[in-house]
Amino acid sequence: MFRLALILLPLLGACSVSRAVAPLPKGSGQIITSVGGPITKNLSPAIPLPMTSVGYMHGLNGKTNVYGEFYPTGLAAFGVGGVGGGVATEVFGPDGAKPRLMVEGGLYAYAGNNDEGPPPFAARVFPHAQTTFSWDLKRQVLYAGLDQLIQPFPSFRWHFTPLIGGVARVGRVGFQLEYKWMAWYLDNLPIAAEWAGPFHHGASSVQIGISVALGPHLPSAKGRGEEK
Amino acid sequence: MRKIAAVALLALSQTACLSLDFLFLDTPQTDAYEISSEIVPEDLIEPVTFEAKDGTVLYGYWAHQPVPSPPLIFFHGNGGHIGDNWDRVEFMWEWHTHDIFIFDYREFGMSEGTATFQGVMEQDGMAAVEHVMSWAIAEPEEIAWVALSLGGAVAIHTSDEIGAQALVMESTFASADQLLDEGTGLDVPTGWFFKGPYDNEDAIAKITTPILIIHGLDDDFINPESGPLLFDAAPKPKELWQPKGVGHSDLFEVKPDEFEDRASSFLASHE
Repeated sequence: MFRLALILLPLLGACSVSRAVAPLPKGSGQIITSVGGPITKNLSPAIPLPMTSVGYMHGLNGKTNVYGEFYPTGLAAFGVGGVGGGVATEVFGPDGAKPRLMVEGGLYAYAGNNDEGPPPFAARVFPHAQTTFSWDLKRQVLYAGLDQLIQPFPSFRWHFTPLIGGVARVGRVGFQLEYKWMAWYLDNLPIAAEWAGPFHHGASSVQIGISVALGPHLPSAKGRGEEK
Repeated sequence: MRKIAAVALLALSQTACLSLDFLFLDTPQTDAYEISSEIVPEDLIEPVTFEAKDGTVLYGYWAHQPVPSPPLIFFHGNGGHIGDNWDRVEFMWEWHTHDIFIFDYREFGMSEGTATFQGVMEQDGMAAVEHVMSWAIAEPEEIAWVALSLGGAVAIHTSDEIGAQALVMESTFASADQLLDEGTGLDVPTGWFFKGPYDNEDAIAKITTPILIIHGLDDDFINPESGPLLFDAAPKPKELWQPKGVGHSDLFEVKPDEFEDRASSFLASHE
């Protein structure tokens, strides 16, 4: 019965596109949104589920971003509210073919209860960490990474998700497309929903992110920003 | 069921506070049952209606033996109704040991009402037992129970309230908690996604009915580990059978003779 609740994974750890792609200019901000999730084959054509996130990301010093976001889908669907936040920092910058390395640490927190009986409230926190290599192509960025999700209590769990993506910027607007192979080590034989996953394992997830830059600086491929 | 799940998930952003209870209570409905009389002669088939405690009207069918026989209640599984499960009734009828009674939970088949954990688990099974006691003029301990999958959950929760001669239970899940854990790889609260507790492992500890737990090792719908989990939690007397080559609901087709032998002898040993 691995399969039943694969539908729940996107409501938890994989509900937004990566935030650790490139550093924002110092003092600049971005409104960040994303929609998408694992692809279900139950509908024709197969489409990603519309999991959503809305948040804000801020550039601290040209190398480090902080962000906070909110996940409306779990709240709308199950009354389980979710928020997330974290810090992403550049370990080293790009140099020719050498990619940029960003690392991110963050936390997802969910709370809510659907049960009609006690207890009225239940909460869980999920620390996560992501390592991302990115390559700059003029005003576009390509990236590949590995996200790790941990559940520290009530029992320890550890999951990791490989991902690839790209960001294209047009003025103040950034368009992000990301592919994740969620839970690739789990058999995805259909139960509640039938997921598209390579070799019948896990679920392929496609998400689209849109960001809008705020402030005087626009994000540049090299991460230092440029004057508008 | 899969399409329902997908459509429901696609509607997430438009909807408030869904639950996944519909995965356990997938309620196919019909305006009229298609009941075959190829094996059970038509004059031995008897449709009935009866009421649950809250007045909900439930539908049932008897498959009588030609001679007076003790009653056996069949608690069918999810995603089907009486008509869909008639082949199992025919299978057990051909044991020629019991009058078989099958019924639909609320919102299943032609039964009225809305399927909820409380309604299905806490009322409908009891209503069926009371109907059979009344019809057969039998004490609870004279009525055999056979249950499949979700029907096992109904039987377990009914057995919290009233005993039976014995229960033969096939392919029942241990708990929603277990399913969520296996499905997500995370330890998340059941109440995030389900309105009912669906904790058969907890409920089975309270039963007083002898139980034979069957779970095929090739079940790819419910983890076969559910069988040992329920077995460990159940009080004695109890037996566990995990046949190889058997999936979620095909035991009566894959190993019909062995199923009949084991179930019949278990029921007979607790008469």
